[in-house]
Amino acid sequence: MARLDNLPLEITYEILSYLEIPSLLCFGETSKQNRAIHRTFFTTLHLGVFHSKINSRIAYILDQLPQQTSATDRHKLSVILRPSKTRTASSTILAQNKIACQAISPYTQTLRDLELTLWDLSSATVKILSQMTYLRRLSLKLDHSHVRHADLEKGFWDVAPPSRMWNHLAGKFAVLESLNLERCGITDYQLMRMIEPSRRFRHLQVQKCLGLGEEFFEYLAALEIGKKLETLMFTRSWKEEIDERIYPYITRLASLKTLSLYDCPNIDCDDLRSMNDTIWHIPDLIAPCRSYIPNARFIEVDPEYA
Amino acid sequence: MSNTIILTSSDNVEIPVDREVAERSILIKNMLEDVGDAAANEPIPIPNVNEAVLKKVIEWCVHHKGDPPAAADDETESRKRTTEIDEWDQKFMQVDQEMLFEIILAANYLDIKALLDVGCKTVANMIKGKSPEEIRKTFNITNDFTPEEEEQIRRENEWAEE
Repeated sequence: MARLDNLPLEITYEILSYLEIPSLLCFGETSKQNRAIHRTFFTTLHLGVFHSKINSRIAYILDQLPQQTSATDRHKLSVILRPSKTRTASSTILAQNKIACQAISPYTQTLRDLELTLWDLSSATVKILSQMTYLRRLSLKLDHSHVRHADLEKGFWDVAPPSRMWNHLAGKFAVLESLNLERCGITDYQLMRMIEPSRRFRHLQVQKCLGLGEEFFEYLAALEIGKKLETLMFTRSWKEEIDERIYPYITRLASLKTLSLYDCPNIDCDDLRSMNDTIWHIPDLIAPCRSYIPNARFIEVDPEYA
Repeated sequence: MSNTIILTSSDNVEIPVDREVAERSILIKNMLEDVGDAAANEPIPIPNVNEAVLKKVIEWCVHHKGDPPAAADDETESRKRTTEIDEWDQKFMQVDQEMLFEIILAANYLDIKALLDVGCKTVANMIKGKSPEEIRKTFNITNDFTPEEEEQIRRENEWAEE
């Protein structure tokens, strides 16, 4: 007799593909077999933990970077913390990380595509991430400068302090293809050690990661993965050494299809364009700010025109 | 070229059907192409599907005879798909559960993608918004967890209810 329990697995997967995460979790609570099925199906999670509903909306509106992901809204889940008068900034971060840990720890071996939107990352969360050796895409979104909270230190959103916790991610991800880090205090060497083991690594986005400097570009250019890198979005870095000093290294990233240095104020827009026109020929170049129209640098005005 | 072909169900009932209707099934379509027109007058055995289910599947194919064929590159499209089902299909799927799953299996076997989708969406909609206990009741699933295991899983999933 045909029942939900004895359908071929590919049909069960087809059914589960229509479910949103809470329903998928409930399905996984029904029996041992369904628990195993839901676990193997649970490969994509984009989780945001917010302290208010309005902030969850803003975070997703601002989220306009191109994504190397096939995730749909079904994989997205926003959790809103219960309102509490006594919640400080640090207890908010603690609560966010507690939820993130709970959410991902049963799926360390099945998740392939993970995105976490939090105020900050705790070392407990990083330790769980370090067990996710099958991750293909990882995105850590910790840059929410629109968030105002009386209790947040001044400059909290401007820079993330360096931390040893990033060391846990060294040498763990052998199949990582795409990495996005926003406002992470990771250093040149820590990031290098994180992406270096994966031969499939192709897409790197770092935003407001001020621990990364010229040295990172040097590492990247020297390694095999640098030659295969297709996307490099190195944005919102006002570090002084992110200027023309990085150009020779970019020359060696031979497979680049997309390069963005958006909001890096020490990069000269025109220099960058002319480097690309003469040497790099990267199809998709996003310069720091001004747009450049060839042969039309000035608007000519006819003085006779009345 | 004959316009009517005969399908034989698993319980040996011969069912005449318009060729155009039967060709909604990619399996039958390919079969007819392979054997050529001369052999198309022979009854085609459908050994996995009984009369009641086959008739139901044909009823669906008749109604959807004029539908445009599904786009081949529906990979990205299908990711965006919703669980909305048109009214006629909803009524069509109001059958007992055994029949519902039989239709899904038949659609899978006969390779009728659109019918398989409708079936899977119907089941997904029966799961949506229900508690684990309600899902068990709906689909007659035996709870083989110990109370301790169940409690632990419930706690593991608490984050999604925050």
